[in-house]
Amino acid sequence: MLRTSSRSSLHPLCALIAGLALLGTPPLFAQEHGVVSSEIAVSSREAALDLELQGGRRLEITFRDGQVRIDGEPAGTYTAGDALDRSWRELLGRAVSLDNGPLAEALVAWAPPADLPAAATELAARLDTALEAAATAQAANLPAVTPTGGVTLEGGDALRRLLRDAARLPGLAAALEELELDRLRLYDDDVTIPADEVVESTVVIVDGDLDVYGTVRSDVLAIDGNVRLHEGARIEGDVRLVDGQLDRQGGQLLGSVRDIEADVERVVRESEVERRIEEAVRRSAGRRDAFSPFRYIGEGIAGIIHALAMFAVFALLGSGVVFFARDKLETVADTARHVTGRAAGVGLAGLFLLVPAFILGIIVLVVSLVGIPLLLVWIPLFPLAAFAACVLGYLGVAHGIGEYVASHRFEGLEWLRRSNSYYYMLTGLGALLAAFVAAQAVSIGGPWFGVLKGLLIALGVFATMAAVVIGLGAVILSRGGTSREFVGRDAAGLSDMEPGLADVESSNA
Amino acid sequence: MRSPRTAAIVASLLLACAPVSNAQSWRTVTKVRHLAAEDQLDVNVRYGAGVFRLRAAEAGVLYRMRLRYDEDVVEPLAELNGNDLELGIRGSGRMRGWHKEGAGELELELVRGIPVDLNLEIGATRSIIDLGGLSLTALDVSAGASESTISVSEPNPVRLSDARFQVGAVSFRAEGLQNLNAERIELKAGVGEVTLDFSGQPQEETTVDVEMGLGSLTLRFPRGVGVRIIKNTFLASFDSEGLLKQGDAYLSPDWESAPRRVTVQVKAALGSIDVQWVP
Repeated sequence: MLRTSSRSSLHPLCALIAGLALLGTPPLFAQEHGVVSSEIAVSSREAALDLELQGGRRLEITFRDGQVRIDGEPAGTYTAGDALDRSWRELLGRAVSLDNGPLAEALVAWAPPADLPAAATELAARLDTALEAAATAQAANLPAVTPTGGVTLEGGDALRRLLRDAARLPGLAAALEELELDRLRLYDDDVTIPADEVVESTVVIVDGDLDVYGTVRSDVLAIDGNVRLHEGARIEGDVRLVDGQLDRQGGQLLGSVRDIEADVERVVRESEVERRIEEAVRRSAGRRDAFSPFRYIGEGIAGIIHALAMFAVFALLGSGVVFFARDKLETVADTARHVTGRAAGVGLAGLFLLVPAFILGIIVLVVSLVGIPLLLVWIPLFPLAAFAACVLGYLGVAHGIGEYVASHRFEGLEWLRRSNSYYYMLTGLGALLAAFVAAQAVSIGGPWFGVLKGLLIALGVFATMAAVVIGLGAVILSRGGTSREFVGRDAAGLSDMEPGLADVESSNA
Repeated sequence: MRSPRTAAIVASLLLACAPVSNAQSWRTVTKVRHLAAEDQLDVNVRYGAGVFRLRAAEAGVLYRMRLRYDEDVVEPLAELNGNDLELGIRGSGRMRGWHKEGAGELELELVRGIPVDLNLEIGATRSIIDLGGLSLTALDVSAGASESTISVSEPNPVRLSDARFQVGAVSFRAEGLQNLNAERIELKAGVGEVTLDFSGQPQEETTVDVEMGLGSLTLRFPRGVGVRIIKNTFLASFDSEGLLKQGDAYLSPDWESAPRRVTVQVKAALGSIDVQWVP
């Protein structure tokens, strides 16, 4: 016979556990299937809950654009961000991850915030009533139930009270998780299980200590109390502790010991971390999604500066080539201008043959044995020479374009007509890079110009590639700018200029 | 205006400022429906763009859908008619101005424990799909230009007659394919990088048809499974690691005696085919 100090009323937490035990037993609690479907919608303008309940009943509560509606009917007004709105959104935030039973619990447990102004109090009370009526509609018709242990619960009101209490005890659900609740003994005082006693049920003790001398075939849950396992005692299930300790003074525990409080704290901590991460991600995504004209302006200007920097580098390089090797540059430019197609073909072939030629050169040098020392020169210098040829070709084409622009009457570009090689170089480079600058300029206009920007960049890439291919071909045909075989000394390039310009060209030469 | 040029500049500036007044309206909806009398389900999921996640729901839930979307452009789709379930998004007919769909998100959980015919139509998305826990009797996946990962973390408890995957320009990875419990798997891929991993609970006989346009195909087999690859390729390299050529087919050495066998027929135009063995 169990020895326990008797009280006239059961500990409230004990009753709560009994209630939750009932909730966890599907045949006894119709609310398990009370909510058929739920829809929760949240946006900056709206926070809405739509429940479909068993029997075809619905509950729809909408906070949208300052108006609160219950089942489609205006119920009152709110201001975005006020206490009621915040509380409602907080409830939906919790409800979004809850299923049937826990969802009903959360809805019933919701209470209007205390600091509401008078005007909102009535609206909040209507919401509270609507939520409770919906969530407890099924439970109200339950028959009275007497679980093992002498706890009696009658009617939906008792359950409602218990559910409200449940919301105030985070971790109790975790403590009851996977416990055998069909057979339950509840105690709210010190209890002793004598040596000759065999308890088949799950033992739950609240606010009291449990002394075990006999046998418990199921689990033990102690809340705000200790479990003492004496010599000869035996617990075949787990011992779960909430703010309590297991004192082993001998005896046998076949299951494990779980500190539910620590588990709950860990879960709460993890949930908090997850919530913060999600919030940070959401904020970050929000920032990324938000349209900002300044972002496009900033990116566009940065792009223009980048393109102009490229222009400056090439201009410096081109000026150096003009200064030190103008004859060769002009020969390359003339070759590119006068046998453009041929230069393009040769350049394309040259690009394709660069790598095989490089490898072939290595093989030949290796096979010849005597050429092996030359590998030290061939391996670094060949790529360098190829790169220099491409750059010289590109600059030669730029020079040629500059000459072409100067020799024609383009409206607005008259100031370029009387020029020298330096101006030709700058003009040509400007023409080749103009598409890149234009692409960045149009990107300032925003995302609508994305296609145009893409086209301009493609145009710029094409122009650059064409200049490199034709230029490389011209470099090859002119033997690095030393042969005017494909141009002739008095090239048409000069003859199609205006007389004055031809004079300038001649003087430059 | 002083000149047409000035007018054009002013118009451009006005245009640039337009989206400030045309901001997107992001809305998050969570829909949950509980299992009632349904004993079989035909599920169609349509999702155009954004991130898509799918997995099995916990017991008792028919579906759980969390959708983040621009309510000016699309609206949620969740309709149950008898055994037909439609989920995803559909056009709201209110689209206006520039729109970026990429930030949308759909997280979907589907019922476990009852037979499901699943049809997924997913557009330009990133998809993370775990079919483990679902009882699939048919599977049809169409993915557009996307990065998709499909895993089958638990064995399908019912026999699946056909599993079809049609993917466009993608990075497509399917893991645990033997867990699908499928008689036949069909994959049609356009351009991209495709990995098929045949780990999982081995089936007696599985036939896989792969058609690829341009890209790389990696086939991963667990050791102990008999493998036969029949390839019909144009300009595709084939790394037949651990396979022996026999006629038009490449066989694993234990093909004849293997209790579990996979036959893969590959048609590929350009690209590469790699075979990898996993423990």
